[in-house]
Amino acid sequence: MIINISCNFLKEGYVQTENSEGIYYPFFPTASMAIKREDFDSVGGFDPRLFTGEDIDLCIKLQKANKTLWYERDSVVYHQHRAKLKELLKQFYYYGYYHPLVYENHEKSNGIKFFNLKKINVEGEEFLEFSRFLFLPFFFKGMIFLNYWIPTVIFFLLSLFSYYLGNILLGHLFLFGSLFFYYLVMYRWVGLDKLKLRAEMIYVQTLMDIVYFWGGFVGGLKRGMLYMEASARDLSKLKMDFDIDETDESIIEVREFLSSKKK
Amino acid sequence: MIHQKTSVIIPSINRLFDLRVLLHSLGEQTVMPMEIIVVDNNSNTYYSVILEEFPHLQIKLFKELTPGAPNVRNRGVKESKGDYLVFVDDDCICDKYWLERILAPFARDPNISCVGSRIESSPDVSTPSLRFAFLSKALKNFYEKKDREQAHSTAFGIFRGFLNKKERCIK
Repeated sequence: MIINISCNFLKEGYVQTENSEGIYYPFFPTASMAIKREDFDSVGGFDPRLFTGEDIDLCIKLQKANKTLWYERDSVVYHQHRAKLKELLKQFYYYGYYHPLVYENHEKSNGIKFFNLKKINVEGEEFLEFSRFLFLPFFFKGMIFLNYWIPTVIFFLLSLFSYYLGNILLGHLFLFGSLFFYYLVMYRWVGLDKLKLRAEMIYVQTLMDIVYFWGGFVGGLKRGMLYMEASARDLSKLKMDFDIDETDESIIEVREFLSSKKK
Repeated sequence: MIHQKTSVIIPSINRLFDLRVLLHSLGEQTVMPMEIIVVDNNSNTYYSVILEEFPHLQIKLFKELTPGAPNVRNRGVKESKGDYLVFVDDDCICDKYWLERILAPFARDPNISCVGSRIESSPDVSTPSLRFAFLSKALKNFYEKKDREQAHSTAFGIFRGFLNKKERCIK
């Protein structure tokens, strides 16, 4: 049973399968992973159906077979993310798309699990982690991550939809009313003043979040389950002002490149 | 020695340039693996150039027609002979001590069956986009992270360290 999956390790050592919230399964990405051949064969290798997330599946199988996992912090690999936006978004879409299948492989019981963001203190450092806080028995499987931006996006879309409906059915422009409703809901329930949403919305990271969420949702529907997954970023820590380091090489390079283009 | 019983398995599809960057970094490792298995997933590119380009590495090249990374990796495992399997992606660049340090825990504790390592973000080598470098720099300032090890936690942790990498914009 998956309660939480994480590869977010703060310190070197044996990887703990259990934490204070119950059982969770950490994993090592195949971008850099060493494994004994006998253990790889004993759990049956990678699941050929999982085009992404096969590393999560393998690590869960290893931990269910009571194998020992170690995280080595000094060993480093530099991974290149896609530089083109379309390729990057495609990559994150497919990261999300196969997660419901991993969930289905290891979770047999029906029901919807709700996860909530929680701040955890590890050696004086705060970081965000998802923890389970509600389980509803239901006739299909589901997994819902409650994050800040999921309600924000949903209510934003709802407000646009209400504007559209108002425009079509009644012939009135309900844009201001719907946006007022949106901001009202956000202030009351989500705390928009703390989130600095405008700062959030100009980001590539937000696009990646949305695409990741959408990939998980579509993949879940294909498997007959409700799967709403989100990233755990603390939006209240965002800052609006750009503090650009003038002495930085890459910034100078970009400026030179732009000025050469103008000529 | 463990590194003499190690097979490094690299799946690759249409990414010859990145693969060559990776193989170059593998050639500079402090310890050398027994074999490096490159499995080409039916790509259009002419992969056998790497055999001529890196004659000092024990590269074995295979071609897998079934699509999908897990099939390609399983094929690589099937063709390999080492007792220890090390997986690395073709869009990665390895640190000089990467292989030595990822194999060290096996020697320390025989019970350990799987070792993971740190994965940092690096700028794209094959398509150096200055706009992206600028944006990522801005993102880094924006998030104002104290420690780069304090990764962005996600549900599945895939955003780890995506933004808080110091070397990200340095070429």
